[in-house]
Amino acid sequence: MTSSTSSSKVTAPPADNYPAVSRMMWLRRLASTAAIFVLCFLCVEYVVRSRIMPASRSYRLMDTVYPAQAEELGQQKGVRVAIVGNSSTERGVDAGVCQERLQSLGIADVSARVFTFDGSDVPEWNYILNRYFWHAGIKPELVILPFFFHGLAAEEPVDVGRLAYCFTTSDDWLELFSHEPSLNWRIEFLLSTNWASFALDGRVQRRLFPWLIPNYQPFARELHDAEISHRTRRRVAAPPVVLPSHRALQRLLLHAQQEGALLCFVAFPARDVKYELASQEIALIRQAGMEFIDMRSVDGLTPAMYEDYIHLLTPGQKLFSRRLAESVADIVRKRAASPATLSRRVPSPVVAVHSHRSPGGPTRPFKDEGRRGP
Amino acid sequence: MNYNTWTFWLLFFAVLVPYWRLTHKQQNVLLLAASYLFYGSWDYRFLTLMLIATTIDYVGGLGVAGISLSKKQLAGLVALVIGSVGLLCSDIQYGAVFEAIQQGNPSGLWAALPHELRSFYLMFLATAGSLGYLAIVVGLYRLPHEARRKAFVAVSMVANLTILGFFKYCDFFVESMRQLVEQLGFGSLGDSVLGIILPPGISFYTFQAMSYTIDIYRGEAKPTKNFADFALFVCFFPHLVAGPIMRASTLLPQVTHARRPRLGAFEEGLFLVLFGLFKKVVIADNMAPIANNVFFRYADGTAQALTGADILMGVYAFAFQIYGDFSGYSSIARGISKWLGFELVVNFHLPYLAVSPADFWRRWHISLSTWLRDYLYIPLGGNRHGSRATYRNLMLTMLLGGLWHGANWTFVVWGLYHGLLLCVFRALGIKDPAPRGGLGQRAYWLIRVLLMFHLTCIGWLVFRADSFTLLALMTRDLVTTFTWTANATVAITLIGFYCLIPFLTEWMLDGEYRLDRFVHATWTIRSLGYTYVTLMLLFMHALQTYDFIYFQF
Repeated sequence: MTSSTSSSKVTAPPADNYPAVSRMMWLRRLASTAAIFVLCFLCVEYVVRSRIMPASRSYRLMDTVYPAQAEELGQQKGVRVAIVGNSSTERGVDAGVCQERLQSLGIADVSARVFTFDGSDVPEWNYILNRYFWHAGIKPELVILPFFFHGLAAEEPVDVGRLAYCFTTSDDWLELFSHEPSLNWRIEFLLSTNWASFALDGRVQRRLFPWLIPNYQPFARELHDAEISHRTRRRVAAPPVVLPSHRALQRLLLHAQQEGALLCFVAFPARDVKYELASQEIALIRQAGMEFIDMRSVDGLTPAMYEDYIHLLTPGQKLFSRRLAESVADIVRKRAASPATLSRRVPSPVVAVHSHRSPGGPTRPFKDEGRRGP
Repeated sequence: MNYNTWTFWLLFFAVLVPYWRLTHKQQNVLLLAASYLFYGSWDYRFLTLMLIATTIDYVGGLGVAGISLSKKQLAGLVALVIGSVGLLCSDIQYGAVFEAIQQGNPSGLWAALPHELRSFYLMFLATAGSLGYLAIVVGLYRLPHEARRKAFVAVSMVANLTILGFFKYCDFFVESMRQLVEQLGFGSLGDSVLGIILPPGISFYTFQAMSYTIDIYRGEAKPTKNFADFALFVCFFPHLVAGPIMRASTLLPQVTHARRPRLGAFEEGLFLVLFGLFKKVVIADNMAPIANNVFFRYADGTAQALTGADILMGVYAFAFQIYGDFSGYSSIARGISKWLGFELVVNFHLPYLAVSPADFWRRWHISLSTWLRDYLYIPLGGNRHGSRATYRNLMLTMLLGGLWHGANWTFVVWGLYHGLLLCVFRALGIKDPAPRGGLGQRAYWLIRVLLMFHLTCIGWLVFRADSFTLLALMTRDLVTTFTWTANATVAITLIGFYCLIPFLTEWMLDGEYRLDRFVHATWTIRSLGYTYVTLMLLFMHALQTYDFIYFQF
């Protein structure tokens, strides 16, 4: 705050003193600027497609490893179990241990494989199952989907670019767009479908910084944990006014019903906190004839077995895998006995549940805070 | 609909493509429609609030200038206000209405309309208010010249401050009062807050609208008789929700006069838009998690492992976050305005190179600080009535400046802190050094820059802290547990990586005052600049997006 007492007007900065130029020259300058942009974009796209994508572990998994693994699972005899999840599943479930435990429990003909995708939740799992299994004509007898916190309430895919570029084809667009009303989301999705550098933008950052900056990884993980932990606490203290509509979950359940698949949702244990489960989500799962297992508390799993609030270390992974196998053993046995039966319960068709508001809270929209899973 | 969403750019290009082919009048109509669409995208009911503020200031400006409106015009304005409140705030289920029209279903259409009288209570209130205001206006025109001018300014100020006060501060004061009553032991008042939603940008457009009547009163601006032009002045979408706050004398002539495209404006606009997006999505959004890590962990009670160095890095990160966020918005607003033929004022001028608090406020949120200076500090007496009065005026101005930022006591203390800094520097008679001269003088300038930056950071600590308890805890730990950590090294490296090149660029361009240095630069430099910004926008943007901080103000 200046202490001058003279009232001075705020004026616009002086107009430029560019010389008057012909329309042709103006167009030439415009063209040169546009050329810079186009050249820049083309170079970047070339580097991403030819160098960065082939070097990405996730992309390799998605592009070559998982399709082959799904096909290999499809060729197995007996009960085939696909375990699909995010990084908590990747570090929390060992398919080998799970399979061995199931076999030791008397289920001889069983094969289990893990398919994990960082930061994925229900909205992505629908298309992952589509791509690797249902579109490919592979129908595992059981699909286990470990989730935690609000994973089932997620409405939109975390990584639109990856979904567009890696998990979906134009066949999925109609179905996707009929469920995703946000114009912003649709534009981002369409741009991502063929533009690799736009779709996989986060990968460069994730690869560059650990290489450039020592100790970057633990620091980034700490920032991420602080953000997630704060958001979780805040939601516990003040639940959102507009409750989730569960449209992604409903789509997944409906799709599974149409494909005759049996999904088993497993609530994953988190360190320090036994998070709340939404009864509406569990009701939806059970109404659809699918299975739900609450494993938020696992005997013998101690905080020392966690790398952070949700990711397990190897001893924890082995223990949890055994416990998971024990928990799903009954379901697997039933599937082995009669693979055509979805469940003991008669499934009811999934019906749309519209988003509804808490009583007395008609106005403030619940803001999506850019949710990202681990 | 923010600048960092595709939806906004779709709207903007839908406006820009036909824009320069239209006549001046058509351009204004198009901009007005786009501005209302832009603002209504948050919540269409907020449009009624803006229309009410626009109408009051439009009539107020004409009243101050002694220009009377015909009965027909006044009736039209009243009908506009009542009609808009009726249409937008009467529980009409518009989704169901459109569905029923599409299906040709009259019973569905009937069901979507409100049937209870209480659904129209806001319309009845608006009718009563409009008629009351009409009666006041008619009465004011009968007053003598000077009294009428003052009365119209007063009515305009009261109306604007009432709107701002109710929507922004009502819950805050009610809650503060409730806490005070409870702490004094007079019992519990229960949950007494009204849960009022803060309309985006209300502080910006009410301040802009207020300046209109005041400027006319002072003879610094001329009123417009064209309501649509005035409405566009109030709601011009590029700067509507987070400034810069424009004066009538600067923006209104640009609305009322024909605009022509300029060659320089296109490329300047392009640079400002790209650089503004860079400051928002690369700098601010990447700094946010570093700052949040510290502030969230203190709020959650999980900050035991943090040291003073971590806290300092968190505060540095917040300093660059808020700068990138706010100046990014201003740059984009200026850039897209240039494409539309408008010139908005420069809102930031290298604020972290300030050498004193007064210098800082000449560089930070310039449009607000000059507003406060011209409409508050100087009318209070400025420095014309001795030292005591000057200090009082400075403190009062900064206190209200702090409160303008948000309804929280931490903002009040932040304002007072800056007021105190201004007073102390003034009392000590510390002069501002220039970055010129010999080595000693340059070194002194640098020390002063660093000192002022850290004083500003203390202010940001107050600004960002959720409560005074957290503020006290963080300040204590900052001082008593200062140990350098590996995390602090990573944080400072990231701050440097994201902020150094843009900071040097801004320095070369003298903030945004010498954009021609870039626009006139050689092909190679421009190529390098565009490539760098594009690559950073594409690959180094934050993996999580955050709302513009100043939207909540």
